[in-house]
Amino acid sequence: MAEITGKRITINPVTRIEGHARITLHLDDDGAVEDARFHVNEFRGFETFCEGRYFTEMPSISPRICGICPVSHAVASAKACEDIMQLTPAPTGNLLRRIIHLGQMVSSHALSFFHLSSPDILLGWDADPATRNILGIAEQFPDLARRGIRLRKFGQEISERITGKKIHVMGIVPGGVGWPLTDENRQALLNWIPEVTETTRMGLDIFKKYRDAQPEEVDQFANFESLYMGTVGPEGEMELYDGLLRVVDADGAIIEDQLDPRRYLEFIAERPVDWSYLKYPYFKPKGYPEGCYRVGPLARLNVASRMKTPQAQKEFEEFKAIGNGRPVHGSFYFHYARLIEVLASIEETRELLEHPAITDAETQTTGNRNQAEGIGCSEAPRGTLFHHYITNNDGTLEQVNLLIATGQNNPAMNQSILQVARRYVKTDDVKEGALNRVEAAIRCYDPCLSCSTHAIGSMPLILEIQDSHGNILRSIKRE
Amino acid sequence: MNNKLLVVAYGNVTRQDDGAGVHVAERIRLKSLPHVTIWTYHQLNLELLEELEPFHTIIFLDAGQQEEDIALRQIENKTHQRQLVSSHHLSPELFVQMAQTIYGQTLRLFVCSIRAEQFGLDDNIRPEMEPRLRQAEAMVLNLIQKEQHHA
Repeated sequence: MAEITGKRITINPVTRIEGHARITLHLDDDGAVEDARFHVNEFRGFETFCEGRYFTEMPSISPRICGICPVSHAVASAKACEDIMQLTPAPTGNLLRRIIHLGQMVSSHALSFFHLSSPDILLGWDADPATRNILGIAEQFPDLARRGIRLRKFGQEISERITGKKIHVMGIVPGGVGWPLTDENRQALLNWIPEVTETTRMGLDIFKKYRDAQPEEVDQFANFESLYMGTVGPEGEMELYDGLLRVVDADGAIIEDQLDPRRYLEFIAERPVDWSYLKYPYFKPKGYPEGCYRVGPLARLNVASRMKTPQAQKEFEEFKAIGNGRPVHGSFYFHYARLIEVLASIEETRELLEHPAITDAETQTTGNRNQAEGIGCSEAPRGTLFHHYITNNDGTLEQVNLLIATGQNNPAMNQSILQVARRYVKTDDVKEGALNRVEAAIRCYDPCLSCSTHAIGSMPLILEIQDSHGNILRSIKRE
Repeated sequence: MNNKLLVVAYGNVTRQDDGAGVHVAERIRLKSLPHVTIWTYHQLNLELLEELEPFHTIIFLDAGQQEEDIALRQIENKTHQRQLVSSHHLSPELFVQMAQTIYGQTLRLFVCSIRAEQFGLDDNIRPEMEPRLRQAEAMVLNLIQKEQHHA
């Protein structure tokens, strides 16, 4: 529902994103968009919920935070526990965790592109909202819709065949994983590779054709300069599971490299805002607001020097050419970056499944608490994820801090909707397609906000237009 | 004759009442009913569509916010739920429509919705929910019996 009263536009709920959110567009006295704010209304309190638990419970509790990226939470949590235990995971267990994590990356990105964002690309921004949705895609492109479902299923089948569960993986533990991979399951997963590669290629073709047809819209959509942060390997290669952090500036210059994520409090600070439960994180050395940075697929490709696998490397070179040596700042390119990551994840999964040690029986090391504090980090589908635990002498958690990707992208999401609203929203005649573009600016980041109750998860976004006095002029509600 | 029946419960058991459907499903699982498969999830997902072919009847168990303590209804492919507003909330109506549109499957799908009120972070379901859980369990067991009889 959209509602205009006075000089403010509110979109509530934002459709096709995770969780609950509200967008307000603030107008000046002349009716032009002056400011835009992305509000997150739900307070999770998950950190407090975890306090008092024994720390090794966390890898099985934390996946309950989210049904979309449970593996990233489990991995970051297991790493934080391993830091507390000063434990090195079993090599095969580490490889299996990496595969499960790549599977989740595929699954999450497939949902984002094929089911939540492809309606804008394939059916048009200005199409009737009654048809511009997943069912519209299913009706007009049934094979694509089915392939999107199967791509997601592949990611979940990886988890199921290794851990026994599709979501909320129970097998990721400090020291590795709980069970070995059987050769039968290894082969079954390998059998998926040709199909899911082809589906990903279809997605890449869809994106590129759209970009060729609408180059200005794609290039200019929520295009603004920022810093970027992501995980890289020792040679600057894009890393999704393990590695050290790199930060680049708006020109692509590396301003920090091989940062140990366990030092995150030294380089990331958060600034509270009064209209949202999400804080504004920033890169401390640059201060606020110059230090606002982006994480996630676009950021990971912007910070990386190369990819690890051949097909993804070819796409990466095309991606880098868009920026002509500088980072790609247009937020719509998150979708392209997401698909390149899917391709990279599939290729790496195949390589790992063919690793000679992948079916070894020794998948877990064990140990005890050896220090009070532990920090674990992993790239989640939406960006860098930190788990930070402080335990007391008996190992129960005294303090838990989770720095999630969506929170880190919060300043950028606000900047994105402001830029898109200024460009497309004419307040004297607010078109549905224009408001859809504002929502789409948020969808580029694929934010995950509710984390997560099912029953009240059905009210994702409101968009409001407010005048300079705060009166609501119009409100759009998606139900 | 196919008398296989699938019970799918979804909800977050660390969020109080949100996990009501999962709690009921776990009780039904303990009965080891013949030809009844029980799956529990954090949320309803589209990829479940790929798994339904063997089943004659599907029953969803979910927490809901309707007025009645328990609402049991059959989902028909008539409603016009078109939006996938987020992957945290796929409606059974859209699920049925997607099954028809993509797979040409006409699902025989029932939803048992248990009224839920509190969604705070707590992995214990509130004692006040117990009568509703019992009622839902009885209704679903009754439905299973009827569906298997008619299959």
